[in-house]
Amino acid sequence: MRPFSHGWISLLIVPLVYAISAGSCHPAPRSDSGRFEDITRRAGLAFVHQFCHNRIANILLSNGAGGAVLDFDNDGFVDIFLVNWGPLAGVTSASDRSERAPDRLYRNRGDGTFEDVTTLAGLEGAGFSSSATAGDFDGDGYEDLFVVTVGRSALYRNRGDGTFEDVTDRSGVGHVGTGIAAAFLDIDRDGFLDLFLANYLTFDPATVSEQNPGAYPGPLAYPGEPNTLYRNRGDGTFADVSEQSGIKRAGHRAMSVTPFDHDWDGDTDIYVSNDDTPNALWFNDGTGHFHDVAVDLGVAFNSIGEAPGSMNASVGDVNGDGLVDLFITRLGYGSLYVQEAKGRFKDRMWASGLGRLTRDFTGWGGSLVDFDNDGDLDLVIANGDVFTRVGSRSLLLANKGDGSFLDASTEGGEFFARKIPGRGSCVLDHDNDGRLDLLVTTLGGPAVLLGNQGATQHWLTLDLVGSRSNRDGFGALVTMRANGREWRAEALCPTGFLIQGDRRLHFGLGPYSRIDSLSVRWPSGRTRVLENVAADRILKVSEPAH
Amino acid sequence: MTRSSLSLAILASLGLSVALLASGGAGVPSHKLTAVSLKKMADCLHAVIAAHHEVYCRSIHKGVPGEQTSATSSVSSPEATNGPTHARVLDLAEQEIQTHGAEFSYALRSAWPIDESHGPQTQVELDGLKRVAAPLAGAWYSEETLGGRGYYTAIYPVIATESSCVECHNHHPRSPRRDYRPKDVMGAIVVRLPLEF
Repeated sequence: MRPFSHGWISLLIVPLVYAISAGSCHPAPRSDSGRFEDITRRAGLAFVHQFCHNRIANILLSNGAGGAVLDFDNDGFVDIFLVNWGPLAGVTSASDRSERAPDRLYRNRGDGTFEDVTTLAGLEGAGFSSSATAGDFDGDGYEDLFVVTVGRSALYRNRGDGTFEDVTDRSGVGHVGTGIAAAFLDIDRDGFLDLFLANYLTFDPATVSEQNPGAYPGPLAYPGEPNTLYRNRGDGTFADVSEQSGIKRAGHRAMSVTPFDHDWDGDTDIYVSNDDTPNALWFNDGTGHFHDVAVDLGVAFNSIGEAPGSMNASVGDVNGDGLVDLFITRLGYGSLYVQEAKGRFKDRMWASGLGRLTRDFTGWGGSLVDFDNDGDLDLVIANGDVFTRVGSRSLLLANKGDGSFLDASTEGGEFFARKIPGRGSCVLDHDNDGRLDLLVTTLGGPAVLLGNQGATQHWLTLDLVGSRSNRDGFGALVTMRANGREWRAEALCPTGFLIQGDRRLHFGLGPYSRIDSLSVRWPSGRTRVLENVAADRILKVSEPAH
Repeated sequence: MTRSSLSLAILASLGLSVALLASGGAGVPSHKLTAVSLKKMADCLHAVIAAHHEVYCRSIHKGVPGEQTSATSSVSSPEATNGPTHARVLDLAEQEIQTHGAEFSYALRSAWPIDESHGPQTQVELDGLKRVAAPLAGAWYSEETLGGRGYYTAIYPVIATESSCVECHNHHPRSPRRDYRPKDVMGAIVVRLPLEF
């Protein structure tokens, strides 16, 4: 662990800090139908995932697709990008002659509605895409997109005029494989976002289930595919450093990647959720070299000693002790890895109540989210069957404040009683009202946007802008204090299962309308401290020049 | 649950050690096994695990170990005068199996665990520990669903066969129970077979 001893501290509020939205600290509920309202249609989102088969005939058809939330036009409102499948030989039905439905980019008009700008943006895409990640890889102030595909993944550079250009070949990130997820992160703190591509398994349509003729084979029937790490050279091109960085390992089957600084030493570590193989926690030595510490730290297996199909890790401090914890969704027993003082984690799945609450559901997209702005992290889980397209209820689980949970699905509204083949889930604030909304993708069905109408307590959202550090501020560590209470959170590339959420850092503050102090430690080592900050707004916080 | 795993589960619930008999042709049944029931498979796995456990306790680890809490410290800690405990070895071996991909798992459990992670982690484990605690109760078999995945779960009592077992647990600083006697049920080995994939 490397101490954070360097850096400059500045005490500036303006002009480097901008209040974007003052809003009301106690917004009135919009209706009485529940905390979350399905606003998909009203918002103008018409995305339907293209399934290309009549059943889940193989393991690749079980996973679904997602996308990314990003503000591509810098208007202060987050937009939504959703990727799609298309016919793929050996995977989708040979008799399916449908044309590929495009990926979709929905521009947020800022009035609660979205417009489809896919064609104008040039983001129709191609192939059998799984997910996307957004980040400003070239530091020009505009969010770019990397689309992960079973086949050849693609990098789209945002030109800043509402259009994107495919720079995959030029940048050198056109990996061909079974891509499933990706994340932007700065592995060496040089100010340029690097790219981690999580690869699943090498699919062979001729493989059959030995034990269970007629059923599709599980992940262990296929060889795992090593992940890929690209280092950003800073000139618009990337170098494949998978081997030299230490992350290349055979035999794993990644489902998602979650960059986060597990020990708050200032550099970004990487958690990889794997299917039927132990999860990995790649510890960054500070120079972009990694070794796996998952077994030693207690985050490789679940509490019954298994390495079942892990879908995703969601990061946050669930018990308010200032240490970052992980929640893992799985086919099988999930995990709530709660970090203890020495950096090791204890799986509190049973003790937290989550073991009972999630017992009957296969969890895919799990997101820690303070949905009621009471200051602790709750959970939303998109569930779905692995073997059939029969729907499952999603779960809304409220944190009691100590890292234990109770079922709040009933108060969540009609959506949480609906059975859907849920897959990806992510958190966003689409209308900048400080109440966190949800976006859920489904297998072969519509994406669902859920507007939060219930949070009435105080909040603060930080929109970080790096200068010497990467422009997204990924890896910045934030400590906030109000009335004796402390919150700690990292600005990270907010990857969920298949879908990336709103990158802005949100804090529910409960009764506190003012922050006593707010400290941002940037990946560059620079630090900014703000004092006496009013709540209930979105603050744009820029990295100090020194 | 898929159809064939369901049939295996039904056979297991009936306690059949032979699941399916292949036809030898012309209506003559063959006596060759073509499948193994879940109960049989769990019992076989347990036999191997328990044998290693027993031999380790009897032949290698007779003394009272030092306190060990992690994979790294268990091997190298100067406190570990007799090497890692049998519980630690069981954990490490299980993790090694999982690393290579496994369609079963096992764990050591106790109602009075020295290491908190060996406490019950599911309702079936909680129930099973009570069931196997009774003298001569033997193994207990059940099914459970965890995270949407069905499991055949077999729970086998761990009995204090060596005086060193009792000595260690009665004197360990973190032991929540200190009145064990030889032949007491100290906990259980839980073997799980997933019913999907």
